[in-house]
Amino acid sequence: MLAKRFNSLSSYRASEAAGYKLLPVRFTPLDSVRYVLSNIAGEYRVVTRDVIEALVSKKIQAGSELYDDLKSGHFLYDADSDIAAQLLGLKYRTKLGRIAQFTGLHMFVVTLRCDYTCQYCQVSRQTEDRAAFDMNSQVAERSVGLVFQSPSHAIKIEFQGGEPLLNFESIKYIVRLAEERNKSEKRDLQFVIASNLSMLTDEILEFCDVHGVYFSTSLDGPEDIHNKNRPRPGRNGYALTVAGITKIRERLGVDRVSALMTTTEASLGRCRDIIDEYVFRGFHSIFLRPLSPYGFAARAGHFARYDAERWLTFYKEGLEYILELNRQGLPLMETFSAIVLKKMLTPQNPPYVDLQSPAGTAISAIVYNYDGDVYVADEGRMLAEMGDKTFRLGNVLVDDYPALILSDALLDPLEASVAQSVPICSDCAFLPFCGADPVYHHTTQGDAVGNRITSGFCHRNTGIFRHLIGLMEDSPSDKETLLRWAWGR
Amino acid sequence: MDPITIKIDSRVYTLDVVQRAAFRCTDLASFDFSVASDCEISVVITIKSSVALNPSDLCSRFQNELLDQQLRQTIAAETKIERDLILAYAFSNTKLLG
Repeated sequence: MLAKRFNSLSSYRASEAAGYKLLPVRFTPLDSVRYVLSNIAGEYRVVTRDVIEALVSKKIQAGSELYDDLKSGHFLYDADSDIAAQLLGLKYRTKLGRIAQFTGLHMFVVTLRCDYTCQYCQVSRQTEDRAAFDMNSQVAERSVGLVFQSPSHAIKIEFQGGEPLLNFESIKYIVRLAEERNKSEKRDLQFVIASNLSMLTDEILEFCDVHGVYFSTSLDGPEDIHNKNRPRPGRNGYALTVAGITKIRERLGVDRVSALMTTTEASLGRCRDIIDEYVFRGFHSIFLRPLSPYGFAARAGHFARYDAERWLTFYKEGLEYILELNRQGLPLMETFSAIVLKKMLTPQNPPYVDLQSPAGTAISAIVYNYDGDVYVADEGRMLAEMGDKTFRLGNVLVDDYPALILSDALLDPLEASVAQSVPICSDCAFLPFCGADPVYHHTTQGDAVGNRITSGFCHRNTGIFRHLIGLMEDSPSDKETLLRWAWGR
Repeated sequence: MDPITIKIDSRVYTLDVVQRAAFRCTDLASFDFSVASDCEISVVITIKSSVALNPSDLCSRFQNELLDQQLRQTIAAETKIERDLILAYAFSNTKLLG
């Protein structure tokens, strides 16, 4: 039966005799021996340099296992597979498809007031002056109107601060306004409050229950690290955050609160303690976030490879411990790795702002500040608080949507930082997994494009890509865990 | 440290390839190029004072980068049509298949 349904294998092999042609590929060293070879859509193979030279000089033996593998992975094509360019076009288009649905995340800074005095925070204000630093109803109305001009079907409104719960009246107003508008828009609308939870009350929980509002909080690790990073009068920030997490879980459900950590000097060398805290508190994932350049390091003028190297050591130690816990049967996921793995191993392209090309600034996320100013990303707002308004798009009270989204402050850095045309990136095998961050490079190098040779962004990301690919090559049991993260199983 | 001068046969490596290779070593050294004759490119390399690196190690790294860049140039030239075709398919307004 099979013989009637399919041509013989030799009939397929016959077309290979005429030789093969190359498809666009990039290569980058993985270690001192191996290279990563990737195609335009991001499918990759780990090979030796000999294989790359043989591929380019057309010496891969037709009919060999290697030939079949490179052909099926769209690194070469022959007379039998001339549809390869169309298929690669389809894969590439799938990866880029999200761009047409741009700006899913809309951040509302409802107040700059905060009850904490975190050293690294560039934005908060210790003041009772509500009028000066709270978002008023006019700014809120104009901002909500702009949110619904984004083409994205999925809209997430995230409330930020300062401490946003200090202006809960604004949150309530915006939620109701957006819900009313969404009756006709019919978008997939979500709300998140990014809060330290110290101001959480039963009234707030009641409102969030009725309106399906999620919480995102900061948990930097065990009590000593958390309270050192996030000083609060009374030094009880940790206790209040943990109590808030418990309250939300009991009232709204376990999945309604997530936690993020900020990595600081105090965190480096303490990754096991931080991870243990997340496990103890019942979280199933942890995001080992990079050191932020938007603080004293950036002011000092250089935040680069040295800092990236220290953070990479922290990340690798943390990931090793997380994988060890998984080997012991505890399913804990590292979120940044999971985002990268999805980009590496699946057709998905998660909208993580820092791993997009064109950059995710305003395409993935946009910020409406309390005073109506609009920024390309949270980092753009922080930079403005440090006196640099390069990434301010305009103001909701005077600018309409086209003026904001087509402003030079957005289009210039976007155009300049498309990674496919950036020196080093354009040749890099990791390009399909990576992105561009014009705000970071503007901050650390004074130029939106930046020099990748000295870039902490490049050093950190390529370090992560190498580490994850190396783990999948060298450790079958870890590969199984990493595949689960990639496919969300 | 005194600058090092390397002579490169431009029939083997184009100026473009030489400059691309040098760019990848700019964390270690600065580079100055001149076309010495019809078939010779002269590269003067000055190792940065902050870098503790043996000149011969730098030259080895630079030569390896030359090989990589040469290979990349070959790939780029050979796959130009395919790359344009793939991008045309990806950004086309029409359906891709069928």
